[in-house]
Amino acid sequence: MNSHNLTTPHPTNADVPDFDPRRFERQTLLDNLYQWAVLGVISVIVVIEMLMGGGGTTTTVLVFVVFAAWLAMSLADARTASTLPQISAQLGHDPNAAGGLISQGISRTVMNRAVRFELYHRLAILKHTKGDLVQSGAICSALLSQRLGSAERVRPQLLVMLCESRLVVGDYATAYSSLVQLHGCKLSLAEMLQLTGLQTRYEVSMGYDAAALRNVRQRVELSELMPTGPCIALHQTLALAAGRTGRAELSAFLQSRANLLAGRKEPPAVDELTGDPPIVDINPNPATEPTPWNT
Amino acid sequence: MQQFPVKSDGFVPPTAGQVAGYLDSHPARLPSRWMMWMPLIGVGFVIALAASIGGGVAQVLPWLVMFALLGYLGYKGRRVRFLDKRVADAHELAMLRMMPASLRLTWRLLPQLVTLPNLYGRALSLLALSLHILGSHEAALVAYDRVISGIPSESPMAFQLRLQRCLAWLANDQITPAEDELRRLQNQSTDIQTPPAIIAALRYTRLYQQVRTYHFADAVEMEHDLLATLAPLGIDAGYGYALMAHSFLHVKVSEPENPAKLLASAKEWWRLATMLIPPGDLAQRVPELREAADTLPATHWPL
Repeated sequence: MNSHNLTTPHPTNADVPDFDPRRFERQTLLDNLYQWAVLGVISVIVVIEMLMGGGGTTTTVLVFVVFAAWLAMSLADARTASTLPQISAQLGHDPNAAGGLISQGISRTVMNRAVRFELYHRLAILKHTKGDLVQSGAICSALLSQRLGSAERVRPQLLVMLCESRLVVGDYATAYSSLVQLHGCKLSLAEMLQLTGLQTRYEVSMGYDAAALRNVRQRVELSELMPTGPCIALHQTLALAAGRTGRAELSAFLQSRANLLAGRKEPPAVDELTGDPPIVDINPNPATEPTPWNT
Repeated sequence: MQQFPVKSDGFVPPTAGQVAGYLDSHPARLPSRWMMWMPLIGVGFVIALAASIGGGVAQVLPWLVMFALLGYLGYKGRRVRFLDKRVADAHELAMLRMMPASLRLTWRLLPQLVTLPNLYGRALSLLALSLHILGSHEAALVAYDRVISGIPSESPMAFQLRLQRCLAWLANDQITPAEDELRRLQNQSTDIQTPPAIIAALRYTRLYQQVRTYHFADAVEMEHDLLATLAPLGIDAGYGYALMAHSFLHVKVSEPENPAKLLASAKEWWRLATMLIPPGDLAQRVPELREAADTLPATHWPL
């Protein structure tokens, strides 16, 4: 095996398209028009056929033409849709290749709405993993404002990314709204883990330390199923909450565990572990917004 | 379909022979070309038929065929999504360490996935992992061999699976193939940009090999950077720290060292291991750790 294939290339912005909200609006409008146009043409053929009292050869030819046109568009959509698993697989280890495929896909003028939404969803993930949370948040907002139809299954992931991007910039109202919506969604295990991390971060940022620690054992157990980075972050967040509520032993245990997960025994500065700003700096003056999941 | 073996007194995983027989009965295969082209051939045939017979049937038949085709394609898409969801369910069960349930689900799913190579590969990997964690190493090796032979050897997934197969070989006392494979994997991972998770997994496997072959002195020599190297494994790094504690308990050095110093090192590594994983779980997954679990003090969890 070539060891080159085990490497993780550093992504650049070269192949990753920037999100343009106006272009997105225009594209979704054209996609809608296309779908209605197909239905309209079929209706017109049926009406003509009824008015003409059925014309054997004409009808067959019209059906054939409509069918061929529909098939051509569907095949193009299917070809684009077939790249989605490949894009998902490449997001982790070859972001540039994934960005190239996304760029190629969304550049089509007219296509199936669900396929376009799925492509933009992958673009949001790509931006998010590259740390461009402003762009990922903008894509998520734009997608969530649309009727997702058969792309509805990506809604929880969009809400997770939106919530995280809003928490980072300190927009707690939008983060709260995303969390409320996430609680109403049917979540996979991975999404539930993300929700746990985000909810804890929100609660601690807002000063609801007791709420964050209410089922601390369960949260710690869930954190063990997370990737290392989020697992460390959740331990630190809970350690902070424990420290602020006077539970020094618990706080020390969680902080030691976070350090150990980062491969250290001595407690380093918080931002050296995850690259995130310390939670206390996000919102030093907690508000009194209610938490819907605890009431 | 072959029934999953279950005893009335509890769960019994399948044997290596049963796994081999089952996989022989349900091998992955490409979808038939005839089946792929059948809808289009059918449409062409019906339209030609409608054009030739004329009359009222000719007006209705093409539309009926078009809607039937749409329905068929819709059904196929829904079916693939359903199976994808079921494989994801099995993966979640494995994440939650509910291995018997994950194994049962993948066992039942495999026959339905034979024409979907990606899903088949994922399910087979899960089957191998479940058998491995449940201690059916011989059966796990059968599944690992099949899944590894079915994916490109250059892929990171293949590397990960080959490492897992090494662990199963070692647990099954097949030391020679494990050592040969480990050497090959080590050579392939010399690139400086190799992901830390791969380096960590390799290091853990090497440590397990040293413990299984009683090379405890070699194991304790690697102590200095173990924390940083295994950290990318997350919670599972605890198994590595526990193996290091086990090595310090059993090491016999040529120079007469202070036994108290060795015991103190063993206690320290066990403290770190049990800060991540409870001692009972450590001993259940790696039976060699039973002695350490019984003799060394574990970290108290104030949760």
